[in-house]
Amino acid sequence: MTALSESGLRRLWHGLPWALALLVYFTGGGYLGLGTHALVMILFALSLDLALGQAGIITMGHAAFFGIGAYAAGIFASHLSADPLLGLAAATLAASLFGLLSGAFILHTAGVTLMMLTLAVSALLAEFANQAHGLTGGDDGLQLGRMAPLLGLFGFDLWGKTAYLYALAVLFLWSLAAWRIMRSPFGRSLDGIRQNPRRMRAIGTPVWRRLVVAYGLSAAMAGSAGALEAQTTRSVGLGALSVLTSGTVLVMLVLGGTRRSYGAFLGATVYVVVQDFAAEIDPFRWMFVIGLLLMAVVLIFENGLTGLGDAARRALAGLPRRSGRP
Amino acid sequence: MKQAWAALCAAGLIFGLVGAASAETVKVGVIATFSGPFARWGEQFQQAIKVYQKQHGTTVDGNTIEVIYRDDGGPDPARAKQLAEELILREKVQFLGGFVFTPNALAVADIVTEAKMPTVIFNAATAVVTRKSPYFVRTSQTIPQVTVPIAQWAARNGIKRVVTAVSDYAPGFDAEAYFVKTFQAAGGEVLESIRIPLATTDFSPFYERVLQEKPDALFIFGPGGPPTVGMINTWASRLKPAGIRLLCTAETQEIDLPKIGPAALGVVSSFHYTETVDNPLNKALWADLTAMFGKNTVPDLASAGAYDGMELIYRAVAKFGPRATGDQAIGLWRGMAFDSPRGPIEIDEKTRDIIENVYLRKVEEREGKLVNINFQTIPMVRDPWKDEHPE
Repeated sequence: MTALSESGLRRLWHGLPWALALLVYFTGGGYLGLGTHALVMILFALSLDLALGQAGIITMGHAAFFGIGAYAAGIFASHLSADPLLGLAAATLAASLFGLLSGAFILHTAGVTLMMLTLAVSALLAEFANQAHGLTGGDDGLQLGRMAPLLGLFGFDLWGKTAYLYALAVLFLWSLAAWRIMRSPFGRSLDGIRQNPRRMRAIGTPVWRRLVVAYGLSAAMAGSAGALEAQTTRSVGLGALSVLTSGTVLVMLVLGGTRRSYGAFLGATVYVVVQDFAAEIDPFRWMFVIGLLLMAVVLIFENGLTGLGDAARRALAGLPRRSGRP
Repeated sequence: MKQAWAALCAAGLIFGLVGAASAETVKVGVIATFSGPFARWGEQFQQAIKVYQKQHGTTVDGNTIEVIYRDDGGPDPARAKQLAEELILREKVQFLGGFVFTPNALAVADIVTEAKMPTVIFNAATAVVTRKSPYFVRTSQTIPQVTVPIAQWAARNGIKRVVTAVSDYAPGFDAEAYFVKTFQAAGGEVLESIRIPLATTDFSPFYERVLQEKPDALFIFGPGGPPTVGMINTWASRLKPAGIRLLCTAETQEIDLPKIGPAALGVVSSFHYTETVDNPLNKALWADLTAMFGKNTVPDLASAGAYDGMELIYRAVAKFGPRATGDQAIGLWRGMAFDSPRGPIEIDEKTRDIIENVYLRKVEEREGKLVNINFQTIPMVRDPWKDEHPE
């Protein structure tokens, strides 16, 4: 018997997270609600990885797109149709349009200015949602009625089994898309723009246009995540648009590692699971645990939790430890 | 050999079951805010529950009542829903309680109904909440319920022209609507209704407008905590010298009075719980709170809501045992009247909402401390919103 070829091994490796996700489905029981939430946050973190990790768009307002997706799905379900897939499509479209539009305006700037603008856009949206009481329910939040069965076949059950598989399927499709995007010439050009926008401009890359498209794509993914959250929990609150949500997803991404195939997966899962268990043990001081975890990961590992694997491999091969710090 | 094993397993199973049945644990899940800027709510809930369990024991007829706390972190309906699922499906709780914020309570309505889970709302004060699930009861108040009395009192006591200033979110809108409606119906005039963004820290620009209108009084509704204290302090420095009185509901609660200082003296408010109310239950609650959690602990509306919520749950377990169903518990609670630290209360037979005294009180100084003192009791007030919006 010959050993598995390297590419075969790698393929097996890529199947592992999805196999684990399916395992959770069969063994999760009462944890499926938590699991669905983790899948949603993975998708959200993945969208941030495209904008922040790949294209270097420093954003503190990514919750804007998550919130638009969530509210769009909520409003769609209450007024137009209870079909989850149509709602998901509408929400994704709404978020991506807003991403393209706001990106067209703010992506002329960079650095701290850009960060402040993303923050301002999301703050404006949050205030709008608070004011537009008739549309969003304001502070009371929006409650969705029962969603229609998925594809007309699979009803959403109390145990959250359908919701879990639905979120997993959407995440799978999006992560395939993200995989393709990040490895396409377009994705490579984003890589270049992040590292040296001036040089990219000098060699003829339409930098602004590329950034706007990347921002729009990232917004579409975040919108899908928001729509999934709204549809699977059947409620949307102002928190979906809050700065805290933008910060949380950033923490998840940094925890897992940016620009890594599974950084968003690991970071979001670890955050959600640790939060749940820490809050179970001590509902008052669980944030302390998250803070310590983040500090430890950022200080010790070069690139989040996924950087741990690299460090181990280098150590085994006897190579010196690579430091990302100056 | 195989049969022997099977027999052994069966025996083990039976013993296990019998062991479980003889002294059961009734789990009560409390979903509230224990972290972040609103963490005080969760802390007050937990302390009141601990006092209740000290006074009444942790067992009912040999069945242990175990309270499981879960943190929703603030107004976050998705998290509240997920926590409710976990508590119901995984922890197999028999009762749910807590809920500081309306959106969180609304978010769990569906799952509570599907699971037929008897659920006690300790706070969430938007009127509509109890309509959303037949398994909801509420032990706090509704905003119209506590706002109408202050508007009536103002109209009867020489206040003719009022400006309202409320925080710009749903409960603020409720307070504004009911104050304006009631005050105008009683012949008063509302000069202007101002809505102040939730994140405001400097209230002077808003109060400058009030000053120009020269009203007899200003009615305010704040979100609690530091912004509310700022609202009152700015009134004290800018409007009080101009002879403009202050009208409010929860804003002068005792827990905040030290931060407001002597400026609060004489402010009239209406509310369903006054810390100094003279009844044995309230005295015992206060005594045990300070004994267990330090002398500066002060009960508030959250304490009253959680304390009475536990009373409902204990009574349901006492009557139906550890396996009380949702329908049994709700059936028992409908129309139930009992004494609370706040005075007599009743769960409305039809609406499952609370019927309780609303007190008109004034801030006074007693033994060097600022406290609210009741001067009038409006007995057994129902939620006016439900009477105006019949099902």
